[in-house]
Amino acid sequence: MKPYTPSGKDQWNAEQINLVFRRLGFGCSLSEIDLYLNSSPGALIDDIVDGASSIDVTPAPEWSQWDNKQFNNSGNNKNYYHTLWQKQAFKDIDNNGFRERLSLFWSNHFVIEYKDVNQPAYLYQYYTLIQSHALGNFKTFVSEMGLAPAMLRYLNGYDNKKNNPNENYARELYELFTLGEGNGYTQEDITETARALTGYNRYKTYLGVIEFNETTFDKGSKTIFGRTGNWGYSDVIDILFEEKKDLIAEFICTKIYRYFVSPKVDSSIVSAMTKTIKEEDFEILPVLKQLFKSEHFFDSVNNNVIIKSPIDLMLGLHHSLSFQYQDNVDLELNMRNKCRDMGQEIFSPVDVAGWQGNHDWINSETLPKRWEFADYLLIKYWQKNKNQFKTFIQDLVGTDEIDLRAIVTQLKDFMFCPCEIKEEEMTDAINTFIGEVPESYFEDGTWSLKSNSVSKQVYDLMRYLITLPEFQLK
Amino acid sequence: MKHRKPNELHLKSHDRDHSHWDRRGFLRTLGMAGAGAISFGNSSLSVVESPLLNKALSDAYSDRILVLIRLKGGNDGLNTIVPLNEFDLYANKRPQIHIPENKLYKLNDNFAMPNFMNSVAPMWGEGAMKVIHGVGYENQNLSHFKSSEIWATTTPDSEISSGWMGRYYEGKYTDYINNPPEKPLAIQIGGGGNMVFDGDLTTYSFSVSSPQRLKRVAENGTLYDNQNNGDHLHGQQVSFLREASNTTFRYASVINDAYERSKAFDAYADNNLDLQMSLVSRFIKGGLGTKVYMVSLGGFDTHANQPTRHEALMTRLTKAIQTFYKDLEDYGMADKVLSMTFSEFGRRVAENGSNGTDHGSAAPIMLFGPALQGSGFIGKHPSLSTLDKQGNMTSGIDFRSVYASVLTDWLCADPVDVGNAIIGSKPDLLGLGLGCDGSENLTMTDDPLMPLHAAVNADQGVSLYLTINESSQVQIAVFDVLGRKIGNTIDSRLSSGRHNLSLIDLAAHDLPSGQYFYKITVNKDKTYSKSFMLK
Repeated sequence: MKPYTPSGKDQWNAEQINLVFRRLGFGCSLSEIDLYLNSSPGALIDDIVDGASSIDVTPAPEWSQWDNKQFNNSGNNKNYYHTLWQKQAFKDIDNNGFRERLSLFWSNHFVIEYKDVNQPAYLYQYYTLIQSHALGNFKTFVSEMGLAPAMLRYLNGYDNKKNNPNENYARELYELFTLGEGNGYTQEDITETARALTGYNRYKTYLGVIEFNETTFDKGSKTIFGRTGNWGYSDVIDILFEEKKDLIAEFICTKIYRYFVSPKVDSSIVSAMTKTIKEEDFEILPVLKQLFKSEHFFDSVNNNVIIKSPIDLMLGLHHSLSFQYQDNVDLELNMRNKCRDMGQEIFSPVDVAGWQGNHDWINSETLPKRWEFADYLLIKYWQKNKNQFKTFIQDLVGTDEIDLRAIVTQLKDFMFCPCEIKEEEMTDAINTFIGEVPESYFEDGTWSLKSNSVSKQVYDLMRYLITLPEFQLK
Repeated sequence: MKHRKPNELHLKSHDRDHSHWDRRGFLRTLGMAGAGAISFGNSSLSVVESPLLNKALSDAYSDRILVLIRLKGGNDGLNTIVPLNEFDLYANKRPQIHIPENKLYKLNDNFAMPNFMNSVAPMWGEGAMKVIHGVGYENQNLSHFKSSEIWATTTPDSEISSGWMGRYYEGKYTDYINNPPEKPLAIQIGGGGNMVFDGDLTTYSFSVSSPQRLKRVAENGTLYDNQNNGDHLHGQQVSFLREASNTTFRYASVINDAYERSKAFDAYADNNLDLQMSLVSRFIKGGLGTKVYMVSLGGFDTHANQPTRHEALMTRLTKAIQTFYKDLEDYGMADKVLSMTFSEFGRRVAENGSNGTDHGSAAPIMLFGPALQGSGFIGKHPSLSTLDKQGNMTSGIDFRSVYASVLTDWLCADPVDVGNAIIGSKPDLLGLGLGCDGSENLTMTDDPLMPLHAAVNADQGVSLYLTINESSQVQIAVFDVLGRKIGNTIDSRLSSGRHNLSLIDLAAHDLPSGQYFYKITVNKDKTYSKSFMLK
């Protein structure tokens, strides 16, 4: 994969920095653009990826290891803790950028649904497992995920016992987590694998630590992918990664590609990624760096082809503008509720396969909410501090620009990363920006970006831009 | 994927109930009737359709239409309506820019308008034009922005971000967000930043930034052009999103229907204001059902070279109004449409040094339409000799009184709704006498239905007292403000005399308070309807 080196007409610029932050994080602020304008693609990617791998996991709350009884005695119901942690996740997304971008990716890969698990401590443990392996080793990640209490509960590993096997986890391990549906395994492999995964069936205390129980473990001989033995949990993972190395590598790299680059897969890029991840023994970080630094990643053909998830939409707008928000509003709770209403409740994907994204995000119910909720954020910024809209446009285009089209174009490019819009909408945007300003003010030089009306003009223009269909893309 | 957990989908739809939905955001682009739609993924529950809305509304008083014509920038009232009774003083204060007497059209002994406004002279002659003198407000703010805001919100309080029409609709259509009407309540062309139609919860107008845009929507029935997006992935995604937006934005197709149902009138000129008026006319003629339109004409901030600029603007304005009413008259709708000009302020009495005028205060509001049934002046022209320290006139009539009067006398608004709409200071009704007293539909003396019918709120519900002259087949149905029928239709043969019929039985129907309509059909021929408030 050819690394990207800016040259000639392909100068390193704000748009490319914006593109990186949008895909790897949740949009990019003007100050982040300034920070990296004199840098290079490689240095930016290193900063973001290395930065993410050095962030600690979110500190444990007091209830991180509680069992059922402790929750019941705590005076709050479990929903209280669930909501608390959903809010924490939004806070982390807001603070940690790429690391939580990965958390979202992985929690939509190794799916659990918190309402099914219904144990807040399990949710916390699952969350930090994801955080700590997000840039780690995929094999280790798979291995530990299968023993996470949340997963044992969600996909019935806890119910999978000798003489009474439950195939649910074994199937999803292959179908959803490592190989893909029907790809390199048979029903017999699943049946045998389920037997090998038995034994994690004993609560130390009810809904507390889940222990391995020799007596419910199936000690008989199993044949998995043609290899026969008295296999147990770690054998399954070893055999899987030994026998199906190529398939796993291709499966996970395709998924990474789709998530970070484009829903339309470029097979030559994925095969280069596949090669890397195998060479690196399933370390996640090198293949990500390779992809993100590639010429392909920066190819404008792939710009604005992904439909924003609700979290992208809200956090992307929030982070890129970095505006002050009304103090009396619980931002995290708002984000959590609004994203849920748009179809993305964190830790509660639509099903075990996760959110499929792309066109699934858009229907006649969610689209008006997307308009409304993006607008809601702008309203809250406006109510808090009108002047920040003016300061922002001055920071973006300078104070001397008086060409309306140039100003509108620059704001559009910043918010759309950039994306061409039709002339008809461009005219609308300019008219909206003119807004209440009398025509004479432009003719006689009364108007400038320092005028009092500018805050409202920028506010109205932003409110217009977020309604354009193209705003749904990233 | 075969191994979903059981009951997954079932659980999901329960989880997504809307009870937590914080609805206080506000939809700028509006008209997204889909906002009230309920659909879960692929399974879509049908939206409450209100096909009867416009029927119910237009059978009552709602065939009346109000066109607000915004003169953006501050129209010079003194060169619009010239005071002949203080002409010398007027000419003295404006040596370069006053309209000379030989270029004036006399409206009466005391007032005249410039000849360049002659297009509306026939309307004055035919009793279809009224002028309200000296409209403004106390402590005139001389900023375009702030004063426009005050005219829209009716209060200098910056914390208020809702407009008078927005609050009017918010009070009337309490279930608007969940059950938006099938047609836009109002259409606003240009001036998207103006707050007239903003409520606290949402915006009640379909707003477009330009008439060209509206024309395209009207012609194509879609909000967004979905051609030529390219066939690379980005283009495909744009096509998908534009299609989804077009589908969601349902007002585009009803606007298109009305446009297609009506014919173009070819006398309109090729300019921005005429285009706006011609579109409004097409929607009215096509039966769109939208009751309030706001159009705008900019360029009134005449600090310099006023004579040429103002003449061009007023010529354009008056020609457009003349054409508009000619158009409507040919269609038999002229008496259903009242137009009203307004501007954020008038201009300074004395001219400035560059053949122009600076920001002023009071200015006339002009009303047009045959429904006025008589031309004339309302209020007293402010004196040119007693000016404030900036040299501006003192307003005699508060603009809020004009709004309240138009709402009350033209849109037949309930006092409660007017109270919601007009804040900031208490309005006085000007008594425009446009026939909202209920007599309008009931003046035919040969009718079997006599004298008045009236709905009365009683403890148990609403009763209708009606008196008929001769035995008739009478059908009575009740509708809510969205046009949904409430309860059963009464359909019986009534003997002559007085009857007391139960319209709404509150024991059977737990109805929210608000506005309702009843519709009476006599002998399957004559129809009467009227709105009433359920308290």
